[in-house]
Amino acid sequence: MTPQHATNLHASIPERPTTFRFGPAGQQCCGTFRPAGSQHAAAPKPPVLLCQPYGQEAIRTQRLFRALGDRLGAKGHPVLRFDYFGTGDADGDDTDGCMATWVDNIVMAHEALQTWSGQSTAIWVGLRLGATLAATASARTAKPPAKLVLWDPVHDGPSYLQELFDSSDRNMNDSLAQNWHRVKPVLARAEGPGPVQASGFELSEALVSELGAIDVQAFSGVQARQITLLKPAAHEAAHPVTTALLRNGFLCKEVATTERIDWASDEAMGTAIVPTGLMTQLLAEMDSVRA
Amino acid sequence: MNTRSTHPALSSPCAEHTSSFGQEGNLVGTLSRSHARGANAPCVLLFNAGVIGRAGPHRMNVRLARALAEDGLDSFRFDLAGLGDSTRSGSGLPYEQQAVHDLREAMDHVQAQTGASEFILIGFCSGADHGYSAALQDQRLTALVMFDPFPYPTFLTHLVRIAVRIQQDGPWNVVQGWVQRRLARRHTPPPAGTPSGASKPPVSSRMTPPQDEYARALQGLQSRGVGIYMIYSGSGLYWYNHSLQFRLGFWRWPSLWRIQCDYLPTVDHVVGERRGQELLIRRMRLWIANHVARRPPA
Repeated sequence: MTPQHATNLHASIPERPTTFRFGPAGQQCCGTFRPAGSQHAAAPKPPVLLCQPYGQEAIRTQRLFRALGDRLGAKGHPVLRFDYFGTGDADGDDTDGCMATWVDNIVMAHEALQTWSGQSTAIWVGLRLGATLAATASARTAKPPAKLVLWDPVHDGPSYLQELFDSSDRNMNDSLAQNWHRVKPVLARAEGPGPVQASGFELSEALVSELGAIDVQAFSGVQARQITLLKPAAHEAAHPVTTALLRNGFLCKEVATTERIDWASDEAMGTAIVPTGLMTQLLAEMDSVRA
Repeated sequence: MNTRSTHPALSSPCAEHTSSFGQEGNLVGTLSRSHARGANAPCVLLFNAGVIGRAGPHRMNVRLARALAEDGLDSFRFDLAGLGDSTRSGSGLPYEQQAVHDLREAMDHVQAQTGASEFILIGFCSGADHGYSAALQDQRLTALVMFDPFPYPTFLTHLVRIAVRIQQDGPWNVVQGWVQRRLARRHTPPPAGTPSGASKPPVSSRMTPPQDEYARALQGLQSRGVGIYMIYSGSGLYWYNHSLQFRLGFWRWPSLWRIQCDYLPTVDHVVGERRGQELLIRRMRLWIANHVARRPPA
């Protein structure tokens, strides 16, 4: 995907939230741009790009991201949130998406946000895998973000993969009336082991390989004037990503969140969450960005 | 990490376009136009399950849209007002009525865009409820595919549940749990007005109609020629847990026995496993293909 695909947008800046597909044909992402409220037209705040997590974590946080976008918009920030290629409502199947493509998607979305907001700077907020992707993408843009908020970033690939697989089985066991741990081997004997999956999202070999290779070095090329890392409540020690960033000469502010969330839970159709404490913390972080 | 992407040449069975629609312009949907669509083919409507966005639980709506496109069917997946990417409506309608209103706006939009005059609705959980309500009000809906629709447990449902529990947990643990719950209930009486079954895991907050009313409404839909397909997941141990339940529960309405009703014990309520997703998609595709083939010529 090349940057010029980011500009196949409406010529005029939309005045209300607008959902659109962008990118080359067959590989389009699906995003929602929320302009700043009209009362902020004279002095809009920096635009914000929201980089969502992967798989069930993206389903669970969809409403959170929407609510965050609405609140940021009301405070004067134009906001863009979007589904990566092969996820959500975007083009492509589960196995078409990979981290390298999603990094490109972030770069493209950043350019789209610049076009629509009319501003060259931006704040990026990435949650879980979205934070890891955003950190990588920041080194790939001509105009890196002014601020990068890394929210509970994925920094240990093998552990993350194990979490994905464990949460799949846990969610199935919680949801199914029968004991999933008994049903699963029976199904495997009858129908074969099935595809590699995490909570119903199939993982390609390439993606498994990319996810497994994530380590703190993924953050070594990060480019942003300010970096804030939101770490889960009860995580008392310095976060490994903060430590790595400081060691590499970056300034990184670390903030412990007030709530600890199981991002991959799948508690029924009403599983989506909007934790208000976290929202307040995030909004406060947005206010602290330097011009 | 390799940060250079390669983009495989993708062949999609459909072209997808996302836009706002509705009189207020507050609704958002993605129209999926099959490259192999037949003339006068109905369009399939897909929308939210609970508060999950239009992509559906574990992206089921997207998977279904593309599978149905291979069968020559267009589909429209969209967000009800206030959900996903759709903003709230200013209509002031209650939630249930708003959902039906949004469904009808979706049909208006697709009809204007594609000329489709018939619609098949696939509804998951609360989506099945909205689909049922909409079908009662709008003749353009000619088929309903309902995943985990309203359940009507019978005496046998309770026996099966107890048998499953005994098999899984052992008889002693089941009896012990039952005694503990009875004692707890005796010491902590439920608030006034609580239905007798309230100490059980809740069926849901869904507004389940009385069985007589539901049966008569289904008969009305049948007489109008509306195709109905029900599928129950293996998550409803307390409310739907064996393959004969629909027939036994509706034995007083023999015409309803013609409704195909499948029980899929290894598929969970949110379809969180790939094999379960594939099984469900296969069943839905097959039923829809048969329904489309049986339609009278235009």
